[in-house]
Amino acid sequence: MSSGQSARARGLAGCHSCLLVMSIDTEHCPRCHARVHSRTPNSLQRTVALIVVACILYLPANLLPITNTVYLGSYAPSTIIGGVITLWQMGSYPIALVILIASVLVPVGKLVVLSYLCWAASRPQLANPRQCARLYRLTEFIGRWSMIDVFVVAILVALIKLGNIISFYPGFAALSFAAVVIITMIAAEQFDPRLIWDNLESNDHD
Amino acid sequence: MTEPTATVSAARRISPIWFMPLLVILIGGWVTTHYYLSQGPLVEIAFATAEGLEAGRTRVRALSVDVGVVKDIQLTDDLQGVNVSVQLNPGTDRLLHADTQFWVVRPRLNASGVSGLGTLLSGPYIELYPGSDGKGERRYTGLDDAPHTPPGVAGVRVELFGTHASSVSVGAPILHRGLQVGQVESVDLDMARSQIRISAFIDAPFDQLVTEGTRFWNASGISLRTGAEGVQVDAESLTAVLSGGIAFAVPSQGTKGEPVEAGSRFELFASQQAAESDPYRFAKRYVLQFEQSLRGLDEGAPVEYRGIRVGTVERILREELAKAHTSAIAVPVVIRLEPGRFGMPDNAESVELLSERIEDTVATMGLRASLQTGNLITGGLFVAIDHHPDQQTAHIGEFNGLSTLPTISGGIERLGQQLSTLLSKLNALPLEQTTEELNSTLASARHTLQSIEQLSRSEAVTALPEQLAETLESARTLLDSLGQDSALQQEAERNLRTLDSTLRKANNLLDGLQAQPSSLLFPTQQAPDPEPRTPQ
Repeated sequence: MSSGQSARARGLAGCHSCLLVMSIDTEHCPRCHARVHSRTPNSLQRTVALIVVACILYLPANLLPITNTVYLGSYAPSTIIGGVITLWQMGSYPIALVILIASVLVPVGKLVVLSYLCWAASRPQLANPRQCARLYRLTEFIGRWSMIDVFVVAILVALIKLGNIISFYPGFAALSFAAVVIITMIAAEQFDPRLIWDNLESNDHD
Repeated sequence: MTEPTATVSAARRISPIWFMPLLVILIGGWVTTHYYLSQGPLVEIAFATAEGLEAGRTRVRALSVDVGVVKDIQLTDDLQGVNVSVQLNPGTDRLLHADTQFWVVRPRLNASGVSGLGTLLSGPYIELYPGSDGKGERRYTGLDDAPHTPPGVAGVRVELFGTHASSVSVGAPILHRGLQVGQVESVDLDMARSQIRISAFIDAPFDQLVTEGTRFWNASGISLRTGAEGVQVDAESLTAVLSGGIAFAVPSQGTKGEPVEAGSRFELFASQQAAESDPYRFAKRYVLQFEQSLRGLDEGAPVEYRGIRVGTVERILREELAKAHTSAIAVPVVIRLEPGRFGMPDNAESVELLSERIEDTVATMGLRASLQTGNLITGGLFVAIDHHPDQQTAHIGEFNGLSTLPTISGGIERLGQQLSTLLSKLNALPLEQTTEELNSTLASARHTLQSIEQLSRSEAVTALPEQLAETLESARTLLDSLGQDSALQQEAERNLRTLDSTLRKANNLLDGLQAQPSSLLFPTQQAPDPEPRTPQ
């Protein structure tokens, strides 16, 4: 028996709420009375559904303007990619890169990684569990940083408000972008990483 | 006791989380549909230049109401202009028709005024004129400049053709009796006809004044005329002097006619005099072929029928001389006969009627054209049309697509013939004999006169006045003796009185005799005088 044997294999399960370890047959946690599951139920389905939601919301987040600038009576809407291109043309390469990474690469990467993990969890023979675990940790780590664009918009809107002379208004993209970030975080939360190691176990058994 | 064991199978149930993507799709779909439904039409307008236009800022207005904004400005593929994408507001579909017009309103300053001053601060904007016909499109061609006459204004637009523009500029006034009733919209060159084409717009209700008989003339600047009355300076309004102008009126000789339709063409005369002298628009052209010298016949010479002007010599076809190769070369002359001068209405029907009548008259009454001398000193010729019933019958022919009128020789040639006849008659006279007789008559007359002179110088004749004076003296003495207070006079008066009383008595006697003729034989019985008595 290797040290990597899972709790389920030993007939044990952990409570989701208070992390008490008990027999797998227990229906309710004796300490906090929460329902006890060996694995998060429907974890993959939930994750996939949320990834789909995030993908849908990602379209308006990029196509619609994230800010509407009113400058001397004229409206100038700008999208995320439009802003990046403008900054790049102006020569502000670092800021352009930061926005590109935080607003485009990170959310897209997160969605791709989560999709890959879900796929890997359902196709045990093909995946490398160690690599999957590393990807999962990375996803969890960078998830919180992708809200940077939303924060910038929120600050600009609050700071610059001079009526018709110059004002910023958040566009619909800001809302959907924030939704994308939150939903990918929830999706990452819903993914049960133990599924990765279940594969390893079943491989060992076979 | 065996415990009942339930076979637990993992039910492959669908998690309720799938409602999330469904909900998002629904919301997204609704938002997208709403967005596209709330968008107004997007139209593309082609302009020659995008001067002053700015994407995102330049507004589109219809009657000064904001109806949209310029979204994008792009150069056309051939780099000859710009395509301006315009996002119109929702609900503006009904503004777009096939004849919708777009133009850029910019500040404009010209002789007839200042316009678009408001755009100095706000920047240019695109004006949209909705129009009314046809279905809306997505691509339009914008006007280069704002139309001088806003579309939809009631009035009539006519085209004027002239030989030179002579200071008539766009925006110049159209004047009628000195009052501005319209303006010049465009001045350009008609390459095909090598003429200046001027588009003029006359505002309602003055468009009723533009009739078939109307003449337009250039009223620019100041006209200076010297004549018997001295120097005369004529000028229309000050604007017309500065920016040029066009005046119109119905000439005093012309007929008014019906109001014209939009787009009618008129000739633009150089001056009012030119317009007055050529007041007829419709004319029938004829070719006259003269086999005689045309010396003195000018283009523009009058054509007269029995001394009344009925037309003008339009052109002498010199180029036909080059083509002619027969010995008898007839020089063709084009004349125009104007029905208006015959007192007919100035329109196309009258031209038809006139040509029919002339055709009849040529065949039946010997109508012929001839050259006549109008001015003996300068030798100027004119064309006279008259009846010559003694001529052989002739018919209307055709020459270069124009009808021809038969001609007879006239003018100088005819005069020459008459002169030679006169001279030959003079030659035949017995002049020498007559002169001799005349000479002898004159000599005897002189002799008679001389003897009369001698008689008057004789003494008897000289003494006559003295004797006459004596006779007169004695006559006066005689008359004096017959004066009023003379004895002779008194005697005569006395005698006359006596005669008068005698005559009265004789008169009484005669009256008595008339009443009683018997009184001559019998004494008269006097009736007793009636005595008045008092009643008893």
